[in-house]
Amino acid sequence: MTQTFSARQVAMILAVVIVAATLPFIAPNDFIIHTVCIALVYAVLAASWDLLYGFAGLISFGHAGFFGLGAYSAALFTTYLGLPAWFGPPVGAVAGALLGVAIGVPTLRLRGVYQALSTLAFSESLHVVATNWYSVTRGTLGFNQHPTFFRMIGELHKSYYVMLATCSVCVAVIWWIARRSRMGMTFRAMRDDDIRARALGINIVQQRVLVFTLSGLFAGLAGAIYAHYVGLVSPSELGPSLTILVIAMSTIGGVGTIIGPAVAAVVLYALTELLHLAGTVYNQIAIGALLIAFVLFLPDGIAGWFVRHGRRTPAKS
Amino acid sequence: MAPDSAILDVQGVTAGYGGSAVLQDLGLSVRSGTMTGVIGPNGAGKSTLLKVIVGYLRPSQGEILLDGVAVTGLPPEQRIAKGIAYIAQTRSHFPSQTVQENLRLGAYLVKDARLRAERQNAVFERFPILHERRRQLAGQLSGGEARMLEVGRMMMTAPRLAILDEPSVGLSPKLVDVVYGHVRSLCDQGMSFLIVEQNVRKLLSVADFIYALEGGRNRYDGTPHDLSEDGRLAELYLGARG
Amino acid sequence: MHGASGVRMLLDLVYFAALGVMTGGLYGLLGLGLNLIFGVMRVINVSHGEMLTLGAYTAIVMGLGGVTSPWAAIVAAVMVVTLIGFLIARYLLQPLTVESRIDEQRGMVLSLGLSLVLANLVLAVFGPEYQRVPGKLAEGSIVLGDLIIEKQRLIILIASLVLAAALMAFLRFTLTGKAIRAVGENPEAAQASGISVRKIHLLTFSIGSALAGAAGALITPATYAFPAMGLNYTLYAFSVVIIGGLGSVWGAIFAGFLLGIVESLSVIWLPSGYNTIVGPVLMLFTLIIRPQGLLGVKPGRA
Repeated sequence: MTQTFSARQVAMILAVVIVAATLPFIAPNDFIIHTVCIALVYAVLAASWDLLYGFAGLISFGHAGFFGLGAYSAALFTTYLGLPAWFGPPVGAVAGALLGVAIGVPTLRLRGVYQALSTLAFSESLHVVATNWYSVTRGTLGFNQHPTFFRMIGELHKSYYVMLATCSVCVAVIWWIARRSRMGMTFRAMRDDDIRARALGINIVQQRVLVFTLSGLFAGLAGAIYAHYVGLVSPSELGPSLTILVIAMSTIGGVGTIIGPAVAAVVLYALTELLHLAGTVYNQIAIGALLIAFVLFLPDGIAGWFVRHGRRTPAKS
Repeated sequence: MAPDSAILDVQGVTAGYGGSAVLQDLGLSVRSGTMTGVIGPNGAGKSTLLKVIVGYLRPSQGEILLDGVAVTGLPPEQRIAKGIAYIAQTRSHFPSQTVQENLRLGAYLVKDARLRAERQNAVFERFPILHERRRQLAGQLSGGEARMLEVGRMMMTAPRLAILDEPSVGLSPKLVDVVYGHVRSLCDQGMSFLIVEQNVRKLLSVADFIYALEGGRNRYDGTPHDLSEDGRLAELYLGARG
Repeated sequence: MHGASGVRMLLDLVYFAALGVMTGGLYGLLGLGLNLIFGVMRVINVSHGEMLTLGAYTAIVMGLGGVTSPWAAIVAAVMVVTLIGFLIARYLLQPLTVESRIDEQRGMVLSLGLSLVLANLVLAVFGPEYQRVPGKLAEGSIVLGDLIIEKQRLIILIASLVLAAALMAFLRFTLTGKAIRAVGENPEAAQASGISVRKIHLLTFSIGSALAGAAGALITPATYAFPAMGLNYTLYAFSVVIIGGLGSVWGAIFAGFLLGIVESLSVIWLPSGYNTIVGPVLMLFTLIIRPQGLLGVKPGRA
């Protein structure tokens, strides 16, 4: 299946690439660059959520658990072994993947609401531990002893390019897994029809654990990247508010497309941060209201709308 | 109203789920006091047709007429109030409530207590086993008893048109005969029936008129006798079950 | 010596268990409302805790307006939250209904957005401060040896139980209650009996929300209100419904007390602060070992 792009699409993609590549030079201040760096992390997180929901039909109500665990693992590991920051992301990825296995295996039989709440139970347990295990995590003060990739002041441009490169690659890999690999195909078969997928010889058990592992891996990786960029990990990285944000971003972007949630994450996060003057409260209200509006009127999100209106062929009917 | 006038008219109905049409320009009518059967292979749209008639699913085109009046836009409960009744394929009752409570819920729209008592007596007369088990939970009934409870629940609204989706499903041949015996006798008392059935032979032996569907369209309509006479159709609809 | 410490230990257990019973009633009441809504509409309402928040802030507003009677505040909270619940069900959830069922996942995600909107609306209007109401449900405490129980806590427990009992009686004995249960069990058959699933959904969501609203106004005199309080209670309610069994009314009451008692006893063994892990951990074990919950029946339909 090859995809051809229209001239307008090519122009749009080119424009995005050029803006992304030159942002440090065209941004009027560092705060914008910093905001985009974090937004890129959220893009990976949203894409990993979409891999679970949009492709395997599994709702993660505790996605912050993967993210926060990745962040804490990376930060603590590098700190206690005295390693440079670059060792953090692989550690975070492994931690996230292991959590994926830990969630995936015992909850194999669960469907729908039960499955969603099982992920919440996991992440909430971690949330409580991170909040209270003061001697290790420094509790709500947040952990800040670990190394960062670069210094926040003076080396922001370097940070930006590293974040841009790693996060783009992550999103691209997730997209490839979901849309182009055999794995993605089996995930979709499983989502659409458990029984038929089984009849086709798909090992549901194995595939379900696999998709949890992969999603956890990328969410954990995102958490680790975040930890070593910002230099501070706090329990809210594991909390329900972050999960809510991720679900909102993904739904608005368009579940089942990977790119939709990733782009929506960047845009929504950047917008809400940059509009900080309006007050966080109103940003949250706006995101919540947008989410409701999308569920009601555009359940397949912005990407879904584009698909429907971009490829409208008269042949269908 | 003339005795052989149509109680139900389905005119040019197109319907489906999420854009794909399961039914295409389908037409059908049920004459008052008759038993009309609908047959067809799996996926022919039989259950969808019933959903459209009862009102669970809105058709994208076409009309549903009850006694010549369009009910296409009405929700199910208002069609029930107009004299339709419906028994779904499986578990068309409330397992965690008693037999008596099931019957009471069946008469949800009947405000007259005397009328309710009368109808409940009629149900218990017809199905003494339900009277015996009236305080038991419906979930504890056997498959055949549950079917009878469903027929009883339906009788509580005293419908003029009863719509049954595969009443023979999950029942032994003997129980199938019992259920159809009751259906026939209710029909003879003036209740009209529209029945979808996989058990084609059984249906042909009791129904007055048959519609055969294929791919969501009308394929054939006529008396069971005519259908059995038509070699090709008989082979198509009866052969597989032979 | 050994005997004395054993008695001491036992007294501690009784003491903490009693405290757990006090909070357990409230957890049960919250879970009951959530379970009713789930059992009938198949929607897990993530904004359930916010209904409690709205009830609590109705009480705050009444207090600011000079009404000091907590009972008047509870009545007002029930009315306000019933109305809000009705509007949510009518204009946000009803559009998601397809063939007499609400889309489970869309309903869940929508209520998530709702929780975000409501919590932050309260924050925008009332500010982040902890707020109290002037009145109390009762003054003083009951002292039984070491056991000191605030009379207010006892009243909250009793009121929770009364509300729960009233709901159960309503579901068990009235025709409308039976119709609500019928829609939960089998929406198609309910419709075929002439029951309007739409109306029952509106009623159910209003009642479930009203219970949470009542809980909010009920606890405010004994504690304080703040905009983000709802999320914690939502998590408790989730734990309760899973432990007791999704859709099981008795299960919610039972699990409410179980959670309250275990959480309270956990302070004996767990370092302080960790008691909030009891809910998610019990929920997790239930999901893994007995997903239908302690008192739930295996889901019969797909």
